Amino acid sequence: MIDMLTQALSLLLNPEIYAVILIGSSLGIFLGAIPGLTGIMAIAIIIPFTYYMDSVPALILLISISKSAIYSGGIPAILLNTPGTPADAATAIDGYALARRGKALKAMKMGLYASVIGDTFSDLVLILVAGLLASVALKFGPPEYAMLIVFSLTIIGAVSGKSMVKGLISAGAGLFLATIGLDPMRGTPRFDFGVIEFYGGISLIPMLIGLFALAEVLRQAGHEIIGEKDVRFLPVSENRDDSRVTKNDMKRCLKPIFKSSAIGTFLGAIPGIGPTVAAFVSYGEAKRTSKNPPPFGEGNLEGVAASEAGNNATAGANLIPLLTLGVPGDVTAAVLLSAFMLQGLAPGPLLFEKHGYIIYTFFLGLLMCNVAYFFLGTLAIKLSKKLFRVSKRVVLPIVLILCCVGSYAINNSLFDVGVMLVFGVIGFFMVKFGFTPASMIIAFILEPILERGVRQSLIISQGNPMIFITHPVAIIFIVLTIFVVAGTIRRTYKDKMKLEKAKSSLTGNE
Amino acid sequence: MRGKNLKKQDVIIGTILAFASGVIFFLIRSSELHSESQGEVGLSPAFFPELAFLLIFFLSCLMIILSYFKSGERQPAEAVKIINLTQMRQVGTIFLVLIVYVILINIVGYYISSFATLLTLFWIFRVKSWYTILPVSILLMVMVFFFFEMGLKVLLPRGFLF
Repeated sequence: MIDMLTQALSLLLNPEIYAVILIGSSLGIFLGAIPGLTGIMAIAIIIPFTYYMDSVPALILLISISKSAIYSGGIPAILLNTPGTPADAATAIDGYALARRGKALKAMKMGLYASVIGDTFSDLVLILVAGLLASVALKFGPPEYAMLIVFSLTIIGAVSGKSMVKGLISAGAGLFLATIGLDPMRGTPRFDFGVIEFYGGISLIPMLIGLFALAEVLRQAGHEIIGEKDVRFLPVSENRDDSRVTKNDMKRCLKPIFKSSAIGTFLGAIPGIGPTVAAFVSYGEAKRTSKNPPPFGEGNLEGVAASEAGNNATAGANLIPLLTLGVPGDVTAAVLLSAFMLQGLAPGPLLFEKHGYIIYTFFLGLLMCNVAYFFLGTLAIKLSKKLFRVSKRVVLPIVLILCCVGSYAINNSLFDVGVMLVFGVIGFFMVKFGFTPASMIIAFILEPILERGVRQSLIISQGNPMIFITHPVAIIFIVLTIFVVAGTIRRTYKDKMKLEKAKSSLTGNE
Repeated sequence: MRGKNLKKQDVIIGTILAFASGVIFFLIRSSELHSESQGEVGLSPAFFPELAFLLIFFLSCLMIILSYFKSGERQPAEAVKIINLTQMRQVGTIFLVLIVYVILINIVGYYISSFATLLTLFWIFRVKSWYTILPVSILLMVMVFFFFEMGLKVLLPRGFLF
């Protein structure tokens, strides 16, 4: 390993590596910040060009796009309540609330620091213990996936806002919406109403853009801003500390950042789970254990830190099953697999033996990408400051047009634009009546994995539900679920008792 | 008064949701979707949709019940979600503009329909300065062209002009 590392260090003297890191990170940050566009799209387009490049610069170019795009999706989430990727919906919850209080810069900077720390953490885990983590990840079968998702659904309690019941109703709606399309086991069309575009189910990104971005624009348009003289796009606080991350902010966010990095790394290493689940589970865990005001959902910096760290920690971890076993963990890894094959590198157990120095150079390149997008992210934050001074009345129409083109670009389909419009109205009324779009999105994303896991498990066990309590890893998730649900009920009861006590002492004083 | 409005709103929404989810649940139950894979191991394709609507039904009933306990409590101003007609008119107008926009895209093409929609939206949002409207609209179209069509090879719809 030391020899390979030494060889890898010498390969890093190649200036081409630095150029591709800069180009890839810049492209990723730019693309990821536009709702509807993802790093995967850029990677898919750039792959053919990498055929003419050497292996290491080619792979580093692609991974730098992916990493920086994952980070920059948090920028529109904070500024526009428009997640750049589904995972950033968790960042939008507290990030946008902070932006509305004049703390957009603080939120974006914390998002950047948390992303870099989470990403670096998972890269180090990849370099040092990839093999071990891959062997654990591969022990996940259908019962384990099903119980992991049941545990992940407890996050809904964390994002439900003031009304848990309404949050759960939103989740129920999300569960139903995810069943639209072809049944995953039998291929039977469900709720397609004869519309061929529904066979593939409702597209997630137009739904996300509608529920968050369009709904927010409609909400703002419905307010009296039109009557006001000149409304800035975002308020800017006079307090200097609101534009930066102070020592105290960092101190209280460090624990959730590291916890979320661990959660994101573990979940990212499991094929099929992805950054969205990691971001929301990290957010939920941070909320559950936080002792610091303000409440989550109303602008708590820990919420931004946890979701961004959890989200970005999947970037390196996603590569663990790919590099060690040749199993792509998600779409990005699958696209990278094709890049590896194009370069004549077959991911799997023999990759380290046959091409060890290339892989270790790639590993060092991963760490350098984090440094690059830290500096480029800082620059992007500085440039985004200019947006604050622009009038809201100019920004909102532009956002509307970009929402439409972003939704169209996914599948080159106007149907997706229609989906975006419908969910925009749904999202507008959901927020108006106290329901939670975030709960709907979480349930929508988790349902397919849950359904597949439960149904496959029951087929394996010949219909016997005891399969869920005979697998040790599944039992661990069941216990964790019970623990989290009990803790949530206990905390809700305690908060209610505190409120009643405060009310009765207030009445007593009067 | 505020508490009463909130209670009424929750009761109405809860009733609508409970009724709709109950009806849909029974419709699914009696459909072919439910009868598939009967007698085989595993769950039918209808299981998860039925579960979702059952969940919504019971939670809606719970919402109605809980709203009666809330009626005596003082609610913060933001929690009172009374329908505001002016707000609805603004929202409805913008939504209508977007629908017309989507319809026009296939007829006149993306660029002309987007340009026209931008001008309309600026007018709705009372942006009056042509020094802002024209350059911003043209620049946005140019950026979309270079970025999406040239960069990402996303072909945007063409109309009878271009």
